[in-house]
Amino acid sequence: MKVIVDHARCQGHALCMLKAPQVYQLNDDGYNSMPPTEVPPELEEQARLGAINCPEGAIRLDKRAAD
Amino acid sequence: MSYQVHQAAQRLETIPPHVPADRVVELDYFSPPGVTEDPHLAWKRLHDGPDIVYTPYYGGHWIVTRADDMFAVMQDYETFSNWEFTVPKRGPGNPVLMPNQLDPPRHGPIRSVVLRPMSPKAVEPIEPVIRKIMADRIASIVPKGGCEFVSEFGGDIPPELFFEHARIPKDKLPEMKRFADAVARSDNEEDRRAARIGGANYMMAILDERRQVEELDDDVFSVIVRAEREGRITREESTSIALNVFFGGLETVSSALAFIVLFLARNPAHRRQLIEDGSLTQDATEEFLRRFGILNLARIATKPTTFKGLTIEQGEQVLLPLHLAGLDERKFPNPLEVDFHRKRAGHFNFGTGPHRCLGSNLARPEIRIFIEEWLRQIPDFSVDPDDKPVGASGVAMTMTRVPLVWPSR
Ligand code: HEM
Ligand code: SF4
Repeated sequence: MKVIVDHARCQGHALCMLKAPQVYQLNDDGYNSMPPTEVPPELEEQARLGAINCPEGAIRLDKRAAD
Repeated sequence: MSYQVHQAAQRLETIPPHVPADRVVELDYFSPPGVTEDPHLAWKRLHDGPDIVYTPYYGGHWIVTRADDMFAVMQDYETFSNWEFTVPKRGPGNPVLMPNQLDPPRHGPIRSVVLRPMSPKAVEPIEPVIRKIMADRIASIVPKGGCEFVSEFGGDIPPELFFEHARIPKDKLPEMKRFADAVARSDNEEDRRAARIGGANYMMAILDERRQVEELDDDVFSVIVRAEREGRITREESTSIALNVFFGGLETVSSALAFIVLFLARNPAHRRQLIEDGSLTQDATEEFLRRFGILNLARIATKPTTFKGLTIEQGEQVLLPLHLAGLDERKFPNPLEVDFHRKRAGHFNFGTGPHRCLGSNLARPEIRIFIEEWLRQIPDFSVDPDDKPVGASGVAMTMTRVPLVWPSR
């Protein structure tokens, strides 16, 4: 699974990082600027938790398997 | 003193013709019926009616009650401006708060000045200081066997922590607190305006001191002065930003602490959960923020618009009771229940859109550390059976009185 953060939507609520620190990190300004990232299976649940907690709906999960 | 006295005279005599009769409610948002017993439940009654209503108080304004609609309003800054972000309109003669009152595109560059010192990374290193201040203050009231939380504890902590965060000399604290108290608690608009102006002048003096410093640090006031030196902002903008970051974190945090301590006083089972599992406090903080939202913010329509089939005229204000978003059962099942194991937080207590609270990364650890330290030192406490908590509404939902008792040692 891939996480894709819409940087234009991110407002730096930090909830993604609070809920899933192993998946999401914020930059020095406090925004999520991570590039599209493949998530290992054991972190998928966390990644999902971070995404549903984002108040801006800025995180998209792409479930197609990586090739 | 109370929050309840306002310019009720500003109630509109006649409802404007574009407002459908079935949307009109008689609601002075400073005193919804039942507010003294429980401010959140008093507001929650609005969810029994239409999603968007109109009240004739304060010159007449709309109230958006559901999470999805609030989200839409806060994201559409071109239609709904932040210039008048509280009801009633402040009008001219008040110091401007930046970035809060600005709209994009001016908003972003001003906000970016203070982003870094307000980020999670910048706040983390001062957590031990927050903990020490919190622990010492709690230790000082433990022997009393009880306290009136709001006057003896809650109100003093946030300004002290902010001064620590911004590295402002402590001798400036008492004077600044006096202005802050008057802004928050005076029941008279003239006094509030005077306190805002007094606070602004005092803030300018604090900034002037910082301007003398050659080697500036990375704290919030230093980055403001550095931006000024680099010509990115003017002196007036410096003051506006400093005022916003200072005043933004006072009543909001102290009100949150008051709601949380009251809930914990009444719910020993929840206390036990937190005491037995220390890893829960982070999720508990988020759940409390959802359940006990604070602000009643507003926007002002920049042009005539149609929203959900309603006509909103240019210059009309739309009130956003952000605390109701967290209590919206369309988003959160059993919203009144406090459940530390909820999967979804996603509340709007810190807003949404470009103005997302700049202080949220400071507010969260303040609240979390408060819960941890309070329960460590006062694990067993309750509401004083001979007294009564008192709630209030306004720009901030708050408790004006939370009498507590605990077994003295
Ligand atoms: C529980 C505590 C807090 C709550 C509930 C809260 C809530 C909010 C909300 C809802 C907004 C959005 C305003 C809008 O959309 O017009 C906001 C903005 C802001 N808050 Fe907070 N806040 C809290 C604590 C703090 C603290 C501790 C600080 C500073 C140290 C702070 C500083 C600010 C500033 C500067 C803004 C304006 C940001 C902008 O317009 O870009 N807040 N806050
Ligand atoms: S929760 Fe959403 S808005 Fe907040 S930092 Fe993460 S991606 Fe950005």
